[in-house]
Amino acid sequence: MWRARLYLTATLCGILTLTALLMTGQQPNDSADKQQLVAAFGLTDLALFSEARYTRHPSQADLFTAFQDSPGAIDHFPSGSLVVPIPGSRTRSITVLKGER
Amino acid sequence: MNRQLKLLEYALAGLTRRKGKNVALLLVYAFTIAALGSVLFLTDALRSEARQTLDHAPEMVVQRISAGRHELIPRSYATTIAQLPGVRQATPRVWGYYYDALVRANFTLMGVTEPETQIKDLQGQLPAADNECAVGIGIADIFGATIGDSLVLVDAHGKNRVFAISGIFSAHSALLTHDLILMPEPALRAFFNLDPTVATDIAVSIANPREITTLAKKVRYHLPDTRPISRSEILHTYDSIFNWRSGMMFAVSVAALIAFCILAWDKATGISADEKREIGILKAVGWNTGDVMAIKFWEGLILSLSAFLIGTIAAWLHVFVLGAPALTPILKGWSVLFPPFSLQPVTDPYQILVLAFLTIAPYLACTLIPAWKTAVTAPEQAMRS
Amino acid sequence: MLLKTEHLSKIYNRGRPDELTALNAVSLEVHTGEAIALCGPSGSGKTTLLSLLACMSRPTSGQVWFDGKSISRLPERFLAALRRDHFGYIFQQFNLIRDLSVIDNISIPLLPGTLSPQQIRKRGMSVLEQLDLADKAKQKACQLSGGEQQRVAIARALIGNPQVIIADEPTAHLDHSLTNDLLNILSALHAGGATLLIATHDPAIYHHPLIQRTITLHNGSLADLLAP
Ligand SMILES: Nc1ncnc2c1ncn2[C@@H]1O[C@H](COP(=O)(O)OP(=O)(O)OP(=O)(O)O)[C@@H](O)[C@H]1O
Ligand SMILES: [Mg+2]
Repeated sequence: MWRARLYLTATLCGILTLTALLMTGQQPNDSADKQQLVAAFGLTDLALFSEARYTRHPSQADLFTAFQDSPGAIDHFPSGSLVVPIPGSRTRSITVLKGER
Repeated sequence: MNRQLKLLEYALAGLTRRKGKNVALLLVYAFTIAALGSVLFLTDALRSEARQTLDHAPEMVVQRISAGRHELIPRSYATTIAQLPGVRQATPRVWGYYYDALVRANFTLMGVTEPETQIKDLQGQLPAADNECAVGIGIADIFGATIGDSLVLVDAHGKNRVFAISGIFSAHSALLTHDLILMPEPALRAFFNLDPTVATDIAVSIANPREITTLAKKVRYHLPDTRPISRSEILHTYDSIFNWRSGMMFAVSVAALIAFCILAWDKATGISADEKREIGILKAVGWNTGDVMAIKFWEGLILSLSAFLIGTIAAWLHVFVLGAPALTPILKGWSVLFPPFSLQPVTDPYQILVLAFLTIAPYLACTLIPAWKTAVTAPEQAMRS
Repeated sequence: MLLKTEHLSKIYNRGRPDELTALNAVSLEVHTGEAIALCGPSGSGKTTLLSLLACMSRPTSGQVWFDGKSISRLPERFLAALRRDHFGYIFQQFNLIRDLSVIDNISIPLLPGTLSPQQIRKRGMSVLEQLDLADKAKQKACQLSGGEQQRVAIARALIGNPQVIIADEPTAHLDHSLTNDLLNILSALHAGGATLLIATHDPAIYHHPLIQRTITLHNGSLADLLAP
């Protein structure tokens, strides 16, 4: 039976470790400084990808334009593929009027 | 209980008998889960970082759209917006990009209007004089500059301008400030050669968050060539950027899932003659189908649960302790200025549960179904295989 | 009457070119406490008959009755219970789990039951001692000689104290003295009320005073029916 006991103990330890790891992140954290920074400069975006406007400032960029800003942007940036089109709530749609000419 | 313990013991003995194969399987499986888990943890943490910090972004940003593109906005628009009831303040802002051909990176230049503000994440001072600037740690690092050194930038007239670094943002805030160069607003206007009557956009402060949508409509009504972007839209953007379906993350997850399916398929179709024979023997000496399924269930659970635990813990350490070294190259692309990750280990328990379910359940099914098929045949026939 | 068969037939690979009738309309009766030897040339269907009697496989046609109940069409879970509670089967091919130790191999029938691991182990060791195998308890089954494997197979069949012992050539790999040991064990069990059914080519068995009746199979049929 030692195998079964060992396994159950190890699995329990694993589950506890994982739970503990997952719990650490749920505690209140230290983002107050960053929040102050954002408020002070009115920042709107994360400085993750600085290749182009639509990746550097995805929330401020046009809804459709790829490769518009960076000089020498001959290809789609890998990071560009991360940035999915913004869900369409605020896009206006063309109305098609059907009828005879 | 005791019976299950005995069956568990038997299942463990069975797994150790085929040690090499099972350890290899466990490792491949755990690796797959670690890859999936890393993607999950990283995107989750980025999303929560965005949600937390950008929650203090301006309530609304108003851009001008001309010929379908973001254009400079007349400062007079700010006066119009400020007069709308409910608007606390409308501040024209100046910011833009600067491409450095040497390091091949885009910097973000921003104008500062209130240099007295105390910023905790800034070492040194905000730029007060026209020839001063404050920079993000990424820029300081890439040029090896410290406070007191100067940056030479080429302005809109093609002239070299010297800016002394008065402050550097701490690494703690790199995710927000990595590529920033702050200058006093008049200096930035001169640098970009901007007309004094225009600004890049207008940050609008609104007292009552519930009025944002209405005010956005009003802005559009009074100034039809603008595009108001509310804070909730900013947050929404970051919610949808880092989700399962987004480009590269999707590719990684799909690759991992395919690897996993191959694994599971091999397992499901490849119940070996040895295993069949063993099931036949167990049935012949009096085990019923339930007992056989119990040990097969244990076998599957031991492998998949262990792989899940190992994989998820490894993913956590990979992302939050090591800073996701295996994923950043994918995120980074050709980016020269990529902020170091010191992400807060925020995870979504729901997603972990989904991951657990998606990895454990199919594997269990792949173990149980072929075993069950063998277990319900006559033992004499099963033993012959 | 403990076991009864009625026109029991087994056809392998039915409907295919290699179709083979291994057992043809066999009807026989076995009474509680009997000791029967099952003889016949190789390929005559002895193993087939035994595996049908012990519900290891299902007949193509005909019936097997156990304790007055027809068991041939019972669902699998009832058969498993029958095998566990009433039968001890010694396979001709041993059917041990190769890389499991001797003691683990013979403990298997008791694992799903209510006995504690210690009790199972104790019972296992006592059976192994009877068969002179106690010193091999920790060895893997695949590392044993043919005779030793056969004795492990016998030990596994005896560990649950079965009511019916079905042995398929249990002495094929045993020498003279081991055969005698086995016959002594079987005699003791028989004296305790067990029913014995032994398929064998070994005169030492079918001439042994223990054996009360001999059934002979020939080409899948009972030989006495074929006799002129
Ligand atoms: N699973 C099977 N598939 C096809 N044919 C089989 C199968 N099992 C047995 N047979 C055939 O059925 C016949 C009877 O086989 P069985 O094993 O019952 O003989 P036996 O009397 O036990 O012989 P032996 O004394 O050699 O053990 C043989 O001709 C054998 O080839
Ligand atoms: Mg045979």
